[in-house]
Amino acid sequence: MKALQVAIFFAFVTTSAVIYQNCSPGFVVGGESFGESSLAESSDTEELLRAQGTSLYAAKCASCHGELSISSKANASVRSIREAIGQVAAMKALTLTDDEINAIQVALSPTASRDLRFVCRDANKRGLSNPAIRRMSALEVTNTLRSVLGPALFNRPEISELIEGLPADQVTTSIDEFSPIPQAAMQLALAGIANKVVSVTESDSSARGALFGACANANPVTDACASAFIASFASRSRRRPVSQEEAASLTKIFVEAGKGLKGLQSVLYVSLQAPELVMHIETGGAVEGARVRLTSYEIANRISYMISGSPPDAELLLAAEQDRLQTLAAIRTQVERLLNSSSTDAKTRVASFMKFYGGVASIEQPRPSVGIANGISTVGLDDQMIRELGDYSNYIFWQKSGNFELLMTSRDSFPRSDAMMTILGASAKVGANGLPVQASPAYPGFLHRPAFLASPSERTSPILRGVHIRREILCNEIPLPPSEDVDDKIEELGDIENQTNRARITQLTESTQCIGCHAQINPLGYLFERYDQLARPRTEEKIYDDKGVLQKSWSINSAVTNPKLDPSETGATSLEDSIALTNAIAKGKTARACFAQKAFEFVRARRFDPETDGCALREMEKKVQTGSLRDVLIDSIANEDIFWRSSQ
Amino acid sequence: MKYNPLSRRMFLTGAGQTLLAMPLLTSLLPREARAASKRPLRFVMFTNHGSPSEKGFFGQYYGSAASLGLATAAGNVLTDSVSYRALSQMSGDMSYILAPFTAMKNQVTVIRGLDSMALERGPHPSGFASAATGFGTSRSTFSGQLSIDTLIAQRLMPKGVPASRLKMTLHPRYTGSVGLSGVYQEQNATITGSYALSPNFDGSDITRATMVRSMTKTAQILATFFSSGQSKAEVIDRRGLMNAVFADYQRVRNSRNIGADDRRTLDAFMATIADVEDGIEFESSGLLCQPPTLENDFPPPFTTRLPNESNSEYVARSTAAYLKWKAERAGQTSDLLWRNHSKLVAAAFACDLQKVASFAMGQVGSHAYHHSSGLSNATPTSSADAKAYFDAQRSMASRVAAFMDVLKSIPEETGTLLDNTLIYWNQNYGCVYSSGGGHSRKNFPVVLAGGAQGKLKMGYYIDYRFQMGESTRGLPLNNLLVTMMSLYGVTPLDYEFKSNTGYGSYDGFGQSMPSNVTDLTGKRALLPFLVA
Repeated sequence: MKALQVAIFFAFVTTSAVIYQNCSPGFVVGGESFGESSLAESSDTEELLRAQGTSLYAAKCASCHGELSISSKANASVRSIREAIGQVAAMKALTLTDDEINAIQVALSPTASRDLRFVCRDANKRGLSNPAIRRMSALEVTNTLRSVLGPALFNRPEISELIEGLPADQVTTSIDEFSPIPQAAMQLALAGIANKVVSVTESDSSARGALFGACANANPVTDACASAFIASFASRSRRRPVSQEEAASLTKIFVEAGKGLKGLQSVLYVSLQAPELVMHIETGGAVEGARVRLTSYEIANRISYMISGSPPDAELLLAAEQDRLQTLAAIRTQVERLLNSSSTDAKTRVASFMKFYGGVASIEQPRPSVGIANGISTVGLDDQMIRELGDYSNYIFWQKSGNFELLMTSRDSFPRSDAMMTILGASAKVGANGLPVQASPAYPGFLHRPAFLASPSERTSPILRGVHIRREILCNEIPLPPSEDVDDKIEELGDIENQTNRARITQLTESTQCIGCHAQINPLGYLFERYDQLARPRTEEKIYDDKGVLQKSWSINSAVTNPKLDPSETGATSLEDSIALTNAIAKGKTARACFAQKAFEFVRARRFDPETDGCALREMEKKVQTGSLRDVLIDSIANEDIFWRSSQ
Repeated sequence: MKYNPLSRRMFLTGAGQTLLAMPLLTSLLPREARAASKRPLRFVMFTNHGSPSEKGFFGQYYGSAASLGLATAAGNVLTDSVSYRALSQMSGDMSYILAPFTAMKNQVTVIRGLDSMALERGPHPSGFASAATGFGTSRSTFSGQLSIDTLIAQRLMPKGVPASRLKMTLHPRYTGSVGLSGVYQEQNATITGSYALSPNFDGSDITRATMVRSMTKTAQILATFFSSGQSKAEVIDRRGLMNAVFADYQRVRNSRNIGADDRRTLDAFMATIADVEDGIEFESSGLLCQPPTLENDFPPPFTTRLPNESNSEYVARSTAAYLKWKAERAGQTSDLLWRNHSKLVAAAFACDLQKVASFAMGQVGSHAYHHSSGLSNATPTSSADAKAYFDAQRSMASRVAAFMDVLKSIPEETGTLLDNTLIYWNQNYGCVYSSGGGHSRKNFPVVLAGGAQGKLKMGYYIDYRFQMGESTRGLPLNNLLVTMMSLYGVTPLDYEFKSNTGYGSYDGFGQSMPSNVTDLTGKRALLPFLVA
């Protein structure tokens, strides 16, 4: 029977898309394997059943009964599910087999035994979602050009201006921002840059020497000079040795252009538009089933761009040349070495990730009237808050080698202005040594960075805050509300402004159409009601006019029950405020899994695929439980997936 | 057939020519170009985040149609009659928001009572998609139809034109204040996320209807649509070398183990090499269409090397000059960016390089404010907050009006560039009705502007509402899109993704609309009264 159920499960997952709707967690999970077939182990089989049931529940049940983690049908039996389908009018259209009902029942049963969210289903599928061709981001192209051209040329105003004009396409707050479809403007821009570099070498002998070698300033330019340039420059731009065929092709360009300087310039022009300047290309080595094993050079490139968005350094290229990158131990050594170097590019990339993780690449200026009322200038405060978040994240990651719990709970802070010092309740600003100062106990961890809490609105918004935590920190899929329902409800209620946020939102969202999602959103938002629009602690919700004069105030009740942070939560949980929430998140499993997921997706610039990425994600999720954030980043790169891509 | 841009251009000469100087250049046109006096009807679309209240936008015409003293004209299959009034009969500003159009009342038409018919996944992105496609962003209601600017561009531009030059899709990025209090700065919005600020859809990604190839940076626009100004002898044979670049991609494409998806990615990118070839061909011709002189934005200073100056000294000096320029530019307002982009579009039109442009305007005020301001009944004098929001809306109108002024300054064989252009301004959502600022799909705030070559009635307020009160309903916005496309010869054969379906979606309000509006004849019908 179990085998049959497992077979059904695989049939299901191979014919169904991952379902993200109706406020479901959206994860398809299965059995753990860690490199071995998982199907023989009974606990894994239960995991697979639970995975099937989770997906089925999200598709068939969640719209009426709420997300699985807060389902009104928790612990339902097979019999009760079957009876409901036969008796409840709205359920009669459901067509579920006995095995599918069994799976749903397993998913609805207590989940305390489930430790991890991600599951390794089939180790032989690792890396299968990695394509052979992946477009570079504008930052990667920029860093590559800097490496290829050298700083003198790269920083020339007429060239850097063109490089700044590259189409912007970074991953900032959403992975969907990075379209896999290449932009035509990128090729146009590269052609313009190549043309400009060529023209510089025409007029500037020192630039000519720097790019082509001193021999380019001799007359005549020898064939040997060209051969040396082709070997070095083409290799540098491709981050690997050029093949004989490629070298011959470039030599042909040199010859057909009439040799000499013009020949060198022609080779340069073509090389600066090579596919490797705008794409990660992994043609790979041996084919093993549906996968292709990467060469050491390709792995070197993966490592380097994943860590810093830049080409491999000399040591990494040497390791590739000696084919020393085909073991996980070697990969780990290189990854750790690169991280230990704390290069500017690596720090920039980690900083970008932390903003992506928090979903706070930029914020709006906090409400000026609240600033006036509290004697705090809000001009530039948005930028100061973003910087403080960056400083905090960098410190925890690089200086403290902190773990997830420290990220979520540390009271270190980085006020660099009087306003930020006041807001954070710190006794001093950051000094010349750049070391942190202690914030007041009201500011523990990442979720209490002022950048997270501030708001430009007349009133704080528990809904926006709750949605943000759900989406960014817990990786829950929260759909947009139906517009007609929202419009109708607003019109029906009329003016409800003269009430507390909590009272207003309760009325707005208590209908059956809304509460399925808002039962998850609102409690998390209420917990943060103890912070005003400037991120200052408060005990009263206050409304000010534009001049900062108090108009109304109400006392705040931030306590909630049953916030449903983890699927294993029993429903008896009570939290007093966001600090309690932070502590729960810091120790809970869901947010850690989410951190692993976001690190995985950021590093690869794509959504994860539970079929093929589950093994790596599970390893990362385990690491978030026990290791530092740095360890998680290392594991996101130094894992078995790095050797593979799809052959399809 | 390969796209040949040279046969379609009016050529201007001399670096630094301003748009105001362009009339003098008519005599420089090739004889063939001068003989071609009939200019195409250009199309420009403005869309922006947010939406106004009815009162703020329609001002003097706020209220029920019956109370406005409107004239009545015969309708068509969509509605029995249409209410309207000539704007010239109105004294002063039509409304606070539309005040920038007061001096050009005869060149704008304000339309009321056009609703989105699409079912949405949620209310937030409704207008972005609906404003130019009529479909919702929910994949279940995705019609697969291209946005009207794309369809019109496909009709106007020759076959084979590179996708990157089919139309100008611009998204000026705002970083500075637009004269509002600090909170209400336009956002530094991105355009590629799920909630993109442009409704343009060019078919590049069906999973995200709002995906566009839009440009923010002036340098990028110049590189794509204009010559770099280097008509002198080529240092190298760039055009010939592009064959080698193409061969390089071909080599990768033919590599072992490259799958079908990867080949598609490569193919998409390889197609862009034709764009580069076009650019080289254009530049190498010596027949240049120069960009206009731009304000303090471009180009950066180029420092001439002094005699006997060492390389390091030169680099230091030129870098310092560049950094100084860059620092000065950092303080520029978004209005400057707008002016420059407007000039670039006008120049591209005048040069016959482009015929269609889309401006995606940034967010007006803060998103949260939209919900909390009680906008439905607010006026500019209600509060400082309300004034800031209304001012932000008016600044959008100012930009459209300023763009009209630029077009008006450029004479063509028949009238001005403005006379030969249709401008369509629509917004993110329909008008705000609820006190909470809820997003609405009812009553999109539409302004048409320009001469439209006399094909549309300009200078009118037109009211298509047929049901009043809380449940105000009007005609489908889809019919306006169909009407505008018809002016360019875009027919159901071009826009009906599946046969006999009309344009846009009808699965939202359409379900409760009369059958004469939602049957095939109704879906294909032009809006009554509007067409001249």
